[in-house]
Amino acid sequence: LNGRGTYHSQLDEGRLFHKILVANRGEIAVRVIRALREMRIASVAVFSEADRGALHVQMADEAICIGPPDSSQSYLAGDRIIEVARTAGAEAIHPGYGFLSENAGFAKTCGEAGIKFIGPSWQAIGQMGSKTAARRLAIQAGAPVVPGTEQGIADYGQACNIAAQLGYPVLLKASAGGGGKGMRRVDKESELQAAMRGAAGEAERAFGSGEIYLEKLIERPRHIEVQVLGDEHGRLIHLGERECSIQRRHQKVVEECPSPLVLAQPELREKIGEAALRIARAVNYANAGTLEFLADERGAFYFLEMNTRLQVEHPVTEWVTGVDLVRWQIRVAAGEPLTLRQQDIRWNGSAIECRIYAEDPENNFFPSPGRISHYVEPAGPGVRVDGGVYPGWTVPIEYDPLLAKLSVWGETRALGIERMRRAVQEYRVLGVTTNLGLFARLMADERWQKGDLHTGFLDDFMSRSAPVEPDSVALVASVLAAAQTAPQRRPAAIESDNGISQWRAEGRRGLLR
Amino acid sequence: LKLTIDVDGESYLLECRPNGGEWEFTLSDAANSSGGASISEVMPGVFSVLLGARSFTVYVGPRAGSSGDDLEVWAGSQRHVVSVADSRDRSAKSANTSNAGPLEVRAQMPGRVVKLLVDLDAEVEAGQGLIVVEAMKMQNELKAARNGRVSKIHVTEGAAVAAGESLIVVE
Repeated sequence: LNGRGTYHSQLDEGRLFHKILVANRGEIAVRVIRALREMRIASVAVFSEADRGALHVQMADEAICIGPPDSSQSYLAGDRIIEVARTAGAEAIHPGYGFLSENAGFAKTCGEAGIKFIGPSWQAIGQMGSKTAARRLAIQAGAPVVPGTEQGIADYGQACNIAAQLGYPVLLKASAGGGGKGMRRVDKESELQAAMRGAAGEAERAFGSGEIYLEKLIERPRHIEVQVLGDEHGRLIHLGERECSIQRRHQKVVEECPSPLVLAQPELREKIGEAALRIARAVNYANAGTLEFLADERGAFYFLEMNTRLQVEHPVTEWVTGVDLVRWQIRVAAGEPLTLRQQDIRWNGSAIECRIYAEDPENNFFPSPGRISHYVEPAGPGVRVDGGVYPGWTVPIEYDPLLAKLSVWGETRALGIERMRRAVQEYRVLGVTTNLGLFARLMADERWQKGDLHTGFLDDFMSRSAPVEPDSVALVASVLAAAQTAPQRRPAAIESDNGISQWRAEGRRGLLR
Repeated sequence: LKLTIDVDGESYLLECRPNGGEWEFTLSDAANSSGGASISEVMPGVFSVLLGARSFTVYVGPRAGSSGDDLEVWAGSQRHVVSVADSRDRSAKSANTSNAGPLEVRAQMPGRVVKLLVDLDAEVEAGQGLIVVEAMKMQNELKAARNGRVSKIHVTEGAAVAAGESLIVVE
């Protein structure tokens, strides 16, 4: 307790906390603020100078500017954020994902300041923070891991021996890494030395640590992860898997639950769920977390790492299980017991999420910030949009170009795909280039529909997918509408019509005739 | 009314005249479409277009990352880049964009110059990398659209640049 008196009561959820600060921006800040409003808890948004007009600022009950656009001086400035929480009278901080969410030092400082960090203990964050340490924990817990080294590699000679033992191809990875940085595939010994130099250099630049390790490369792997949820009294359950094999540059773009692999092998869910729980129990895990695995076609799976926070793609789990993960995060952070038991969790139907990014798939997914001129979100049955933007908003260049997450639910995977196709068609974003067109083509793809996925799927799809045959009548409609905006050009007409569109002027004359 | 309309690099001639509340049009596309259309601007920049029985909602806005007059037009889930000119302005406009004059390489978005790949007065070939600009933690190499000589370099390495800012001129 933080000296403000008892803040948890099991009778009245709304009194768990009175006010919570959301230490994030964009769609996830909006998601958390929505949960807080439903729980009648006041929300405090923080924002950088680049985000004065951002949606999360508009939606929160209170909003406080914490610094310049550079995130190191705003969204990553932990001490400043704790100070703001104190001044505002917030009893807890929800970190969202990214930024400070997996920073053990920040979580610890929050606790020392008497502010509840909504997440696991700082010790659990620290233990899972290093991939090599997490791997050792998993082995001790009896969970399968990808064969490879447990410690960082000392030198080339050692690397040669280990790679020969594992058998090529092998994968070099950064100990402190993520997002594919410092990662290299090595197919034969002659490539090893150069790849080590490249990986270590990249890791040093990206994470400040050049430590790398070696793993057996799993061919055509699927990325499958397990959602866990625990309270602070020792109860821990899993909410099933999500498949996130559709990636570009090692970052997820489409996620779904159930995994098509689990649809083919239903017993896999319990097996991988049990493995996830064994690992999470090893660090007395509380709150929401995700354990990432690689799986092959036969259903063999290997633990990769744990994300000790709410995941971007949590909506697909919420769709299928009906469990509100953010609400539970807040409840268990207040000390409430988790009243859901493992046998209460049911998985109903199929959910798919597409991440809508301001980026150009035709130009190597290059970011495309700018002002959104038109913005219409899809709606209707089984459609959910977790967005952080609005028409007129300029997507800032300083942050991740994620605009929104579009997720759908269907009774079956096939119906979910049809619904996603429909929802993508309804979605309109103008002014910035987005990857919506990619999703329209992906939903129509036969291999995607079959669920024959692996982490290289999207690269392969981009190289084989042909552009859609254009509709010539839609082209005529486009031309006619664009012509309406033709500026006035004839001097005589400008005088008489004051710059009104030539079309409109002629139209008016036509009506008068 | 006659307009020359570029759609995704193809040029079309549109002729139309008002007929009651509708428009009679002829378009010099592959099918030489012609007929009547009902067009209603239902919101600023959003048009309901009825072509025969087919209904389209067409969104018209400035093209992403462009500082010029190009429009981005969506009809259904189909996107086109469109520019509209009175047919009389056509000759002046095309002279401007022809291969003869200087070619300005501009920043597509706000960012920072990471590296200059060419020196002043260097001869460059079409497709050759000229400059690397970083935006949103991604690096993008801007290339020469045609052969020529680097006549101006407006920026230095490390400089912050605004969207549409001229970086290098090739003549």
